[in-house]
Amino acid sequence: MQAYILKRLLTSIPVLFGVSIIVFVVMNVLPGDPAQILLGSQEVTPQQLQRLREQLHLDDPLHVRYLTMMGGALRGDLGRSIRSDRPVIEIFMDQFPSTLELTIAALIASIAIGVVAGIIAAVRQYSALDNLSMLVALLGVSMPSFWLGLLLIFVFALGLGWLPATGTGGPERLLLPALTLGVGGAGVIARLVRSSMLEVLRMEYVTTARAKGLSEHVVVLHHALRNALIPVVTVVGLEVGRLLSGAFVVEVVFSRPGIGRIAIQAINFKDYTIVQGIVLYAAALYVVVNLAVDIVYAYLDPRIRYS
Amino acid sequence: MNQQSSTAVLTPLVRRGSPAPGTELLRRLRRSRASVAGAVVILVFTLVAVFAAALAPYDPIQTDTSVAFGPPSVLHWFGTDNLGRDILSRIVHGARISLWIGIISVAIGAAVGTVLGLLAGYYARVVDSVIMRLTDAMLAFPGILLALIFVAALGSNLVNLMIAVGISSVPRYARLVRGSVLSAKENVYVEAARAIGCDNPRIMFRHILPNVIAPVIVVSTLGVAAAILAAASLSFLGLGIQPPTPEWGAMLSGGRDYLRTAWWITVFPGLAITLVVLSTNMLGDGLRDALDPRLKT
Repeated sequence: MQAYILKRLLTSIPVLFGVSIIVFVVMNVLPGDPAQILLGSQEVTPQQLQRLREQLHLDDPLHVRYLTMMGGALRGDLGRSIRSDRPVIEIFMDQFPSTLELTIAALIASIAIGVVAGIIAAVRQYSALDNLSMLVALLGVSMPSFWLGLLLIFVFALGLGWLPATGTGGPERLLLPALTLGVGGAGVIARLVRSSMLEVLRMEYVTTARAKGLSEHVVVLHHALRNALIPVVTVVGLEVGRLLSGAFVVEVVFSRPGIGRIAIQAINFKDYTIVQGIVLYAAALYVVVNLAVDIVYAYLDPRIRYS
Repeated sequence: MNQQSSTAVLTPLVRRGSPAPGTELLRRLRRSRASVAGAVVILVFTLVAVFAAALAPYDPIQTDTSVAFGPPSVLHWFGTDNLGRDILSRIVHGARISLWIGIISVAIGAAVGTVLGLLAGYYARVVDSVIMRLTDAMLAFPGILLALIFVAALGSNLVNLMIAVGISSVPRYARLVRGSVLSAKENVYVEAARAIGCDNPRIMFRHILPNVIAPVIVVSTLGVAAAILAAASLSFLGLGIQPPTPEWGAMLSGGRDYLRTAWWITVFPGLAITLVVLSTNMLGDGLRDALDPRLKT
């Protein structure tokens, strides 16, 4: 197990290195002078433009700029916001708890809805309930989260007045954003649990459990579900990434604070150090989550670590 | 050996009387009602997109504040927006833009990804390592994040949006093609092509590519849905197509300030996106099952 963890840790290093190169290349090498973009249509003298270029280190050679960025990133320093002059790490740490809260709540919603729908669909295969569950699952995957969010606001906040539409604080403000973000993942998990359950329900040990006279719900929930859930662990890793990027949209819809909303504002304000820092941190976080999921998966299914 | 004889050697044998592969695929596809329904909806949206100018009852950009915020009625089936523009006409014209974005983005992603996958699978060793590490790094960007930084760096307009969405799907195609090439290059026809003196690009593009392209087509079908969704998300965030162009995501974004008083500005464009993406997913699922029934759940 330790050898497997070490191997996975080592393979994550080049990925993180690649991520940093992509972010650097996209933000610094593609056509367009960041200083000029930052100034927009403002009239400035060539001296002022040059001063800004120096301030942003844009005249340094590319490899120096990359090494400077990486050196800072490894020390937790990704520069300062061009507009507010606050350190990017400080802005990130301020906003991240809200995004994390939303992501975890959405993940719980995805798993809860997805697993229940998947079990029902598998146990009642080819019934109207199965077809309905799978249609809703497909709808969940196909519906844009920003639209679903607005529909939920329209019905539950503006129409019925049951829940607040925007802001943070308290579970009542988390419910609608978490549902909005979690429904897509619930669709993916429901489809996976259904196919995984169908496979497990045909196994001999399930037949044995039935033959022993156990009730159907004990067979399904205690015997079949445990094994059927193993593949779901991998999807949860992928889901965390989808939820993290989905949070960018959902935070805007529900006017919630978070790294997504800050990143979008930063793009609109052309504050590239913030965009660069947040994207780098979000991608690194995704790599780490996937690493953790792989380790959990190897723990649950010993065949993985020996292959 | 001359060109004619080399072609004769390399042409795969087709059994007399056996149906063409496409016919079998269509027969299997027709058995799935969901796929047929998906295909019909996509066909309808494609026709709407092609004949948008003839079908739209009003000019999608022309404003008329005297009818602003008009609810759905006989004159304006889907109502009007804050500037009095007919929502139905904007959705009809938006179909052209959204489908166009979906198709071009997928074409960019599939073309670049296929070439990278071919190179990685065929040349292996260093080329493979470099390309695969690059795709690993690209896959480390969750969801629309990669497209987001491309749009942030390039600026928001239609072309940049298509490039951004297309490039972010490159790793999916590169990995898919690489896997197929690794097994395809061991086939006898590749050895035969090499023996008659074909150069590497010819072997890759003329002999291997046609044999590994089928899964790319399936993934591309599903990719159109993902591309439409990604582009609509970016436009919703104000990073894609800018007003007054009638793009569905941007229309939805424009309507959210008036949700309480004019729900139709938000509801109908969202319905259009959901319908197209749902239909594409249904057709994509059917295509996947038809090409590889073992995957059917």
